[in-house]
Amino acid sequence: MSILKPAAALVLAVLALAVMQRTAPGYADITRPITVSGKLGERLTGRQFDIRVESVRLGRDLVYEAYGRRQTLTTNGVWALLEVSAEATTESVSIIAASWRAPNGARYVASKRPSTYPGMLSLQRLEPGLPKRGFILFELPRDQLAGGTVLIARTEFAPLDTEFAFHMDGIDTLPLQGELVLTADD
Amino acid sequence: MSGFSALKRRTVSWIVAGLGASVAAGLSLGLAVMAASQPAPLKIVGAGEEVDTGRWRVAATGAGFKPADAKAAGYLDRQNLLFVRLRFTNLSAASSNAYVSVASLDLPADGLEAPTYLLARDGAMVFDLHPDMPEDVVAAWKWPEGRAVPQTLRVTFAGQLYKRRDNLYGAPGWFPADPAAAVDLPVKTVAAQ
Amino acid sequence: MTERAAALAPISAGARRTRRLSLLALPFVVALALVVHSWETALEWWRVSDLVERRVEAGQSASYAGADWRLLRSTRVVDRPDGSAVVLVEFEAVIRDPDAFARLPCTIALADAEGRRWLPSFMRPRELRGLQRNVAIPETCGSVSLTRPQAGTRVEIAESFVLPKESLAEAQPMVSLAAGRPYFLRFEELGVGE
Repeated sequence: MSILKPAAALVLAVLALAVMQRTAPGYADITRPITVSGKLGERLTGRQFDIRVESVRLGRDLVYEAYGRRQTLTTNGVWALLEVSAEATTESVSIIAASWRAPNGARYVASKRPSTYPGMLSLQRLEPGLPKRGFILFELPRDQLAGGTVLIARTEFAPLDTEFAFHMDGIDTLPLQGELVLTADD
Repeated sequence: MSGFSALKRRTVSWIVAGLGASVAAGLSLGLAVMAASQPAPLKIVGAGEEVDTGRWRVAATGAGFKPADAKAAGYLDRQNLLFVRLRFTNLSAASSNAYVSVASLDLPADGLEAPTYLLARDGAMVFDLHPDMPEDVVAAWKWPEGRAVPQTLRVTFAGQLYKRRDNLYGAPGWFPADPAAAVDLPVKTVAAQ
Repeated sequence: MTERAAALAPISAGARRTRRLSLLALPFVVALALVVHSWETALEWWRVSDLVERRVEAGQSASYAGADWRLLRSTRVVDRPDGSAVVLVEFEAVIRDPDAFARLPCTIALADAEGRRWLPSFMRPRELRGLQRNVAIPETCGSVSLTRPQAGTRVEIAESFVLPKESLAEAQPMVSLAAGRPYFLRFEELGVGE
């Protein structure tokens, strides 16, 4: 009896320490941005801007015109082209960080390849009171479309800033177009 | 008298407690020294053979030299180019452009700028390579005028290892490790691409 | 054996009081530790924020961050088809302390009553040419600071903004320099003319 109590206390202490060590948040978790979740078509409000994903299109090639030349972007996977509308609420801002979190946890950062097309969201300067539309482009493997989440934030490393998470439900049922064309008036 | 035995007991427990810690520290130091004193020999692989460098799975599928074409439209085509074809697969969980530091040439480095990476498929510039999407890329080095083109090229692949918590911030990251492998490629001179 | 007895004896009153005092002091000590750790960060935040407003009446000049500032004019350059207006705001600054003036960052913005801020934006080349001016394009705050003007010189600073037409009436220019923060200047007059 006299050995049981200290032994039990020791076991309990070791257990508590083990649990604390396993669940201690890492640096990346402590400085994680604050997530605001929503669905396709839903308007979400964050710290510096509001945003809404208007539409998603899937295609094998992306075609656009820039500086008078026709550019074609090819991929081994699938292009997912998102059109979003956004408005700054407190200050002029540019939204440059977007990534697709696949169901297996992998993060596909938005493609920088169409960087000469002026309609891309990352090239838009959002002013308070003036909503704007822009495009975000992802290059994805075919099997990571279903159950994905699009994460949009002001910058890539945004500790404690807002990060919008749009759940892409039903994306895999969208038709896969041969060519996605971005026209001049988009 | 009881005071002295108490002191002796305390000393003994101090020594016992310190013993475990000293053994642990000594062991880790010894192992580190041993590992550093016996570097693993560099593995040589054949062309097209895939190598796991930690963050990337890479295979070198060919090398070549393309002399300058003064009348070409593109800036790169107007240079002498020494190029290596590589196939990369991103094994990590996020898109990354760290593939640029994987392949290095075993040549005297004077005068060689960092290579340009292009997609083999359509010649477009590569930015990030995405997880689980293998891509054929071409790494092209501008070759200085008048310098002799080597017959064979040794390409060394650097390795990286992933730490869930690093030593400074406890943040996850990829860190340099020993070179994973090297491959010897014959250099074929080709016409314009 | 005597040690075992000593270990099992009740705690003396003195030890009990010390333990209680230590427990009571704990919240204060933790608070003190927090203050000591974050003191520098708090100071840094104070120096970087635009917290305290100093109003400048129409036509007046104000001494701020090593220079005397005055709002010269605001020009509504053009209206864009998306409902926005392009405004060019021009200041003059007479330098008193060149080192304080040259410390970046230098922020000029248009702010409305609710605290929304419009930061400078580039005018399109077509709009720039449309300005009915023969003078050279005045420089922005950042580029003037880099040239490190001497004490006593008078410089002209201009910044262009894009903002909704509805906000033109309310928006007022504000100037904020590193040497002057947490204070910032807010000019009462916008007087957007042609």
